[in-house]
Amino acid sequence: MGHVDASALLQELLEVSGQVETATILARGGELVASTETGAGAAALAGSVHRLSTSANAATSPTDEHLVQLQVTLDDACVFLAQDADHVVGCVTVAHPTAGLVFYDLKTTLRRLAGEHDELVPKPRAWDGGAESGEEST
Amino acid sequence: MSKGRFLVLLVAIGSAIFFWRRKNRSRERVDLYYADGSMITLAPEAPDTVEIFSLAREIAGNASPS
Repeated sequence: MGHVDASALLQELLEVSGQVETATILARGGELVASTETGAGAAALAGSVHRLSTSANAATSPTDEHLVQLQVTLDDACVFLAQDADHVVGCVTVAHPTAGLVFYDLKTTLRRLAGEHDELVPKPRAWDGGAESGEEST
Repeated sequence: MSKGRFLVLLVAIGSAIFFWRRKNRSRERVDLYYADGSMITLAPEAPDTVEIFSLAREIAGNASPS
C-alpha cells in the first residue's frame, strides 16, 4: 500500500463536493492529520472536531452500537463527521446540503485513508467500440 | 362585511400565519448514525445535545469558506 496524502484527499474532497467549505482529518486520538485550514485555525478546528466526536460518542445509543457518522444541522450551516477505527473526518458545509452525498464523500475519504483505492468520482471509461460485454478493453 | 367573507378572511390570515411560522422556525437538529444502520435525531433541547450544538456552532463559526 502506498503512502496516502491526506492533504490531497481533502483538496479532492473540496473539488468533488462543492457544498463542503472546510474539512479536517484527525486521528481517533485527536492528532491533526490534515486540514483545509492553516495555522492556528487548523488547530482550533481540529480541537473542536475532536471534542465534538468525543461528545457524540458519549451520547446514548439506543442499540449500544458505536457511532459512525453524524450531521448537525444549524440554521446557516451543517457540520458533518464520519469516523472509523483510525480516523475522524469532519467538515462544514453550506446550509441545506445534500446529506447523502456529503456522507458518501466523507466515507470515501476514510476508505482511501485506510488504503482503499476507489475514487471519489468514478473515472469515465473509454468506450470500447461496442465490443461484447466481458471483454477487456485496453 | 358579511359573516361569510369575514370567516374566509380569518381563515386566510390564520393560514398565512401558520405557514409563515412553520417556514421560519428553527430546524436545528443532530442526526446520529450508528454502525448497525440505526439513526436517531435529537432536538437542541435534548440533554445529550447541548454540548454537541455548542461545539458545532464553534466549528461552523471558526470555519472559513475555501
